[in-house]
Amino acid sequence: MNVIEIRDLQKCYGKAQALKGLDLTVKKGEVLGLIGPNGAGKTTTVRILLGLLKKSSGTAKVFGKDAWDEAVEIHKRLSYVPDDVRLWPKLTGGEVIDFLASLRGGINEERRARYIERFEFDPSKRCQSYSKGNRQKLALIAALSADVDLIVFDEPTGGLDPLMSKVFQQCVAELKDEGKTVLMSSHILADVEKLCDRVAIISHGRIVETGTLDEMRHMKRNVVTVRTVRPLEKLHELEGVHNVQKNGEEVSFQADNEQIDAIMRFLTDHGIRSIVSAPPTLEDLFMRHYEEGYKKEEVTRHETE
Amino acid sequence: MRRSEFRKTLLLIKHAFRIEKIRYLVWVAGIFSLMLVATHVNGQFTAEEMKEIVILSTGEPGMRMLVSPITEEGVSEISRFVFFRFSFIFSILFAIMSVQIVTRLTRLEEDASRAELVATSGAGRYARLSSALIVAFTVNLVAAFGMMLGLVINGLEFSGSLVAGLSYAGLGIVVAAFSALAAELSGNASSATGFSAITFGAFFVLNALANVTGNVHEDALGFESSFLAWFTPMGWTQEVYPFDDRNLWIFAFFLAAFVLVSLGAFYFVDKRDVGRGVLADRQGREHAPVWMRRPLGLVWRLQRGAFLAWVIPVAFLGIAFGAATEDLGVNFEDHEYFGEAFAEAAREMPFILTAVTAMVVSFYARVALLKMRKEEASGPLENVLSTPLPRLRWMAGHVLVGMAGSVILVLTYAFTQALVIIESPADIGEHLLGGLVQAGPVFLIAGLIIALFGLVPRRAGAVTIALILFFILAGSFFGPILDLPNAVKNLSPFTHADFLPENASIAKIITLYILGGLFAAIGFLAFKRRNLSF
Repeated sequence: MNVIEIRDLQKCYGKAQALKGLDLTVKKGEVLGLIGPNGAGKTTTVRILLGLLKKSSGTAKVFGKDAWDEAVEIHKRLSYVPDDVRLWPKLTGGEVIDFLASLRGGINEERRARYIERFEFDPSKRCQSYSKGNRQKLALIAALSADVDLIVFDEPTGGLDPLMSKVFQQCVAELKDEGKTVLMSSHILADVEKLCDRVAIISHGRIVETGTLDEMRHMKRNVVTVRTVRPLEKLHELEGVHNVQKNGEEVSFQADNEQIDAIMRFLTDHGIRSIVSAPPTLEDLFMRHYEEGYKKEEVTRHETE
Repeated sequence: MRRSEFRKTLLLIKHAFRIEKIRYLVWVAGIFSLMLVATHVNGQFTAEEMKEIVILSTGEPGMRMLVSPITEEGVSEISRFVFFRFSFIFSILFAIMSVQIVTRLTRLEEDASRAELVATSGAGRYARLSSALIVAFTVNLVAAFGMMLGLVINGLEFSGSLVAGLSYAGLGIVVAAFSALAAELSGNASSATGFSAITFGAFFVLNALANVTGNVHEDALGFESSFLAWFTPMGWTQEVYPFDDRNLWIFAFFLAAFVLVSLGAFYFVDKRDVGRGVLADRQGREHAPVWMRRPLGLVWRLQRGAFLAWVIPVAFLGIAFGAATEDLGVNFEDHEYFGEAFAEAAREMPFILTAVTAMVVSFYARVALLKMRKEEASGPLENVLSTPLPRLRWMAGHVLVGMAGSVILVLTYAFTQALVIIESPADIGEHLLGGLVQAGPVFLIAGLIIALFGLVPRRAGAVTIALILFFILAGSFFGPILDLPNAVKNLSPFTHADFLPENASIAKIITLYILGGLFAAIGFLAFKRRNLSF
């Protein structure tokens, strides 16, 4: 069963079109990472799913219900951690957690205490004195303490230090074990790589690529760094070799998986001294789409000029 | 105070004028036009009519709170007469303008974290505060010239007009300095504005007392304030007498107060962290009490500060004004010519004051209801509405507090005022009825604010303040003073609520309440259907 189902979703702000036909599904029990550059439409997508923004056209369903018309029903089963956590300056952290939890149908004291301890959070301070990281912790504690089926995180770890990011990762892993569904938009690729079953790359209001990391890597290139006895002069002419860069004796390039056999033979002929071959990181995949995105943008800018 | 701490002040001043120029222009143009129109309109009175009006107002202690002292020789001169009637309004305008300028350039910048950017980009620690004070000083001066121009165009003498304008600018800069101090002491922009408002409120009350306890000239031909006037900058403005004695030495008071209070503000800059106030955060509760976990409970928690900050002064003002108007008219019963007129005026006076209070309370309605917009644009509404709380239930809490709170405020005033005035408990009903009548326009305005929040959230702040100011100026109290055409006056809901409850048309009052409800309903429908707007 699909917990989230988005088809041909469009959203316009006046003349600007933020989403241009976005398709995305998230299955039950799945952790899906939504990544993309600034302004790609991540937050807009999330806010439409939460019924905070109204779609211009298309379908956006959560638990099989329309995100706008049945927002209240949907909200009974989800919690949300926004990108920019804003609070009531005069209230204490503890008061805010209790209020949000009560709105979600009551507080589970045991969970609340556990998460406060894990995130090393002081709930007795007034919100105006919390740092960005602490505000984020508060929203995470409030969301995690609730007993829900779906949790939506928008850039959840932006303000957290590495130690707290790790706590967060453990929490998400536990949610996964409990069979809960998670949608997480992020810039922090390490989080997505570690936590997500599937990744959807969003750019210019569309999903440009989606799949498990393995699937995506399968189609992509390995990054090879090699030192050879004889110089690799004709390497760039080989099929399936991209981005050759020389760095002293060291040469690094990207290799298509389909051609890897021929490429390795070529390298062996030149006498390999050392070689490192790594699967692409999410960052590599991501950067490709980034660059394409910017190139496209440039082209359209030239066209309009 | 090291000089390097003022680095880049000039840059920030330029920046302020670039960002805020429209706002400043509107203030100056507004003050100029009001002066121009007020002088022109009041210039239509004959000398004899002016004299009558002065006598009528001077004779009533309650009315003296809202007018300024006037010399015996000046009672039939337009130059003195126009300030007799408008001093109060101009004082308020200059004060609001100054509070707004300083708070926007200091505390609001800080709340938006822009101040941190500026502070770390090479600007000195005092640059923000000193630039705000200099900008406020400059705009006040320009507004003074605007005022002078409004007078001179009406044929008034140049140097007197200039001194008159400057005397309000003097009040403005003192208020600006107090706002700067408030901005340093308080934890955020809204409490800074609150502190400033309370400060100005104290200035006003002292000044009102100075006028009430003042010395009335023979035959009520004007009056002088008592010594209390020296304790409030509003009083200093009135003591300048620009067209009579022209007490220029009083400007030393304004400048001294401006410098001293500003120094106080600079002192606290060193004592606190950027983004915080001096008044430290206390440790708070780790758990929310049960009542606060419900939507309405939270709304009350968020709104109670503003409500209490209004209801307490309003209750005290009711008592004070009630006491001041209690033996109204007694002094003049034997007056050969005005005796009867006084008796009638004396009875009407408390109801007029209730109406003026209602006009002021419409600002409370705005503050309380636009809290919703604040929650939406810079608060946690996004988080709140992603819980199963339906949008309209969230909204209903704020609407309830804003609408009911406004009505309660007006009734509180009518009630405490009545407590002092009435001779038998049976009379209290009449005063409460008067309150209910005057709360009608406020209820309608509250409805309008809700509708605007639903329909044009981003513009709601500016549009509501313009509407309220217009309604007040065109309403039952100021409309006739400004001699506005009926068509304009009828646009204000206040015009349709007669002062005396027995004169008020029940149909009209009920219509005001119904329209308020309808507008509110429009607001609800619009908010249910629209995007959240951040």
